[in-house]
Amino acid sequence: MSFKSNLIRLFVISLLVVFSCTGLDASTQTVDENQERNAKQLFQDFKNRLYQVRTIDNASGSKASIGSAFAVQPNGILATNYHVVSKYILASEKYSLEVLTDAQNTLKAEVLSIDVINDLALLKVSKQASLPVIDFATSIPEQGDSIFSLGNPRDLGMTVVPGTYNGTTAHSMYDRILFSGSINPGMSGGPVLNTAGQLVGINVATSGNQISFLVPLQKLQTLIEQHDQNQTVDFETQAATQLISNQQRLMSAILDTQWQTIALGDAEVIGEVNDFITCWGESDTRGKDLFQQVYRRCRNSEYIYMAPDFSTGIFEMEFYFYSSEKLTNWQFYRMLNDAFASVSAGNVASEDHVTEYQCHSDFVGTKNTKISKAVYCVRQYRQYPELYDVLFLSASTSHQLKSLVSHYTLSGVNQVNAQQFLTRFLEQVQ
Amino acid sequence: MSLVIEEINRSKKVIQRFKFDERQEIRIGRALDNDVILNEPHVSPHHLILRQTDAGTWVAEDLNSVNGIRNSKRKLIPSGCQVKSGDTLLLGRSYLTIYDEQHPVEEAWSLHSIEDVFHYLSHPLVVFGLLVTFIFLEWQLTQAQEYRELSPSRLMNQLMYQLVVIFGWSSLWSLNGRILRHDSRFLSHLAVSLVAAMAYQWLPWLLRLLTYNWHLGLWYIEIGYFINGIIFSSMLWCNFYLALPQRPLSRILWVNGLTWSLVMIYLLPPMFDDQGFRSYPRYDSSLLPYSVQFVDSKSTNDFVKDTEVLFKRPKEQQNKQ
Repeated sequence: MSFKSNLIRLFVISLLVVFSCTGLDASTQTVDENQERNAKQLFQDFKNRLYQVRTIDNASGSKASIGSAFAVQPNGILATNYHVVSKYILASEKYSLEVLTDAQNTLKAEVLSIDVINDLALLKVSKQASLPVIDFATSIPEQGDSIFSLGNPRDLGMTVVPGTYNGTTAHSMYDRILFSGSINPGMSGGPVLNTAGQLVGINVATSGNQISFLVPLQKLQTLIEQHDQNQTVDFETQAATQLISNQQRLMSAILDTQWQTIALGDAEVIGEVNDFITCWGESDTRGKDLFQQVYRRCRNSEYIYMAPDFSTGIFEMEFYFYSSEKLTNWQFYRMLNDAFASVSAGNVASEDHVTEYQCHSDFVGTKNTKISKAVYCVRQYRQYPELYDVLFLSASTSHQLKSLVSHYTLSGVNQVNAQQFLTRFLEQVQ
Repeated sequence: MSLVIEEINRSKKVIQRFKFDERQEIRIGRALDNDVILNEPHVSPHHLILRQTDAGTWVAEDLNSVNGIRNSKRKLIPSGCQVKSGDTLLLGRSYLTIYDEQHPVEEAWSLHSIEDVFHYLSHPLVVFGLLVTFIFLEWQLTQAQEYRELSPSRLMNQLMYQLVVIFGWSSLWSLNGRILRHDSRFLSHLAVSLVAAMAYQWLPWLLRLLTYNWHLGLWYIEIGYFINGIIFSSMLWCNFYLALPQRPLSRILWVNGLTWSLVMIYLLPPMFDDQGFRSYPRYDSSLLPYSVQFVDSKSTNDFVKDTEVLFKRPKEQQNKQ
């Protein structure tokens, strides 16, 4: 079994936007908020408020990644995506951060605050004169409204992409806006404006043809409010707090509901647990009619980007029911062995971020009819020692020529939630 | 007093033995009028005379031989030197050991009880039976292990390969026996090889049962080598017993020394391999039917309790932080 996400998301890496510091008077920049504008007008009016963010590798002196940003406060505060500046945050001794203005001026930038769950970051640039800012929309657009994404795709230059607001994505825990328009790498962190030239969201990710995702404006407003109120804490603590409360929200949403059971082959498995966990299934007779396989796979479609080699926030659950009439019992278990041997976690994590898995295996079951072999593996997050990835795998062995193979991965959960889920899963799935 | 002269080879095996009663002198050389005739070109026609003195001791007198007389340390000894019972003389390339007839000999080696087993095993019908059983088991066990269709040609290739190894191994040892003990015992060696081959056939099954029940799947290879070693050393012991004239203790030392150093050659180097970071879990994935699960199952709560320990980070990983 290999676990591939049905929805492969590309994170968009943004390009630096040039900041205009030509002698333009701020008053000439004011736009009429009631005026309906097309893409051409919007771009003309706002191109001097767009920036390209560059993560510079100090050793080579070259840009290692790029993204887009825009000014939210005249005192030099810009907003962008967390993933645009994640390399710099994780290794600030190796990288430095630069912002390129519309007029091709380079400014040094620092990170002020981050929101890893909603993929946002606030930057501060060293700029004396006040920056023209992008105003926030006061109302949420309606489905079908034209909105415009701005950003610098693949360092090709600042672009404007018209598209359609299509509400919040279904089956989502994080309220992403579904934008029907093309966002490309480099545009991450760029603003998305309504026809009045007000901010409605921030470019964050794409999923292929005209399917793009935006972080809603409200998330940015919350981050700015928190930043204005709070003392600055280090980013590790900030990320840890966000990850811990987010996993609590996710796991409560799962654990506080009644799990319905549905039939899969002759077995009873867990049905839909939650709106943001979607299930897919298929049956397969690839073994030349020697055995039958039916599977059901449930997972959340979102994950939390932490670093290029580290993601978390994944929940996945899989059930495979195998049966055969033609194989002998030994042959059947031989076949099952192959299916049982190659499970891995659904999230990416490298040595810098997690420990190696430690596994425990045993036979579980009380009555002779419900025995299964279970494997449970745990790895700890190095930067956030309260959080773990857990991986569970079991195969029922008590029936002749029938077996249910179950697997789940929880990533970025604490011990209490992980063990509560394990207990419940063991009791419910047999 | 009688004198015994042995012609031996470099590894001290006796080539020919002479016994002389009540003799005052014994002539040794290549010429045909000698008492001891040595057919070795570096020996002179009349090489030496062993002569008994009045005191009853023996001395070696060199008859102006080309290569002289040397002792067991290859030192030339002067003519007229005394020869004691058990001394070895080197003439050219021939070794002669001189014994007094009272010279003590070793106690008899007791016959191993397995000798009778080998006798019965070497009966052609028994060997044939073993051969047929081996082929039958190979067919059955391969079929049980393979859930896709069994290919007859692959099975045949596998069988032929195994039979070539079995017959080759047996022939090698019977050749050894033929040279060293003038006793080939081919059928006994063949029977031993077949029994060992059948043990190897069952090894994966035994291993799977052991590792499944006691959750040792991650040690599968190591345990496999260990059991392999036991089977191999048993077979080698039988081969040594049948082919080589060896004392029991030195046979055990040789057999185990060879076997376990071979096992170590396979087991040790991987321990020094650099273990990179594994981002995937390493777990025991073996699965067998419930009918061969001998150990008790845990209750759900006990399993959850047992897994708590996984949340504690191992010490060596703490240091990497």
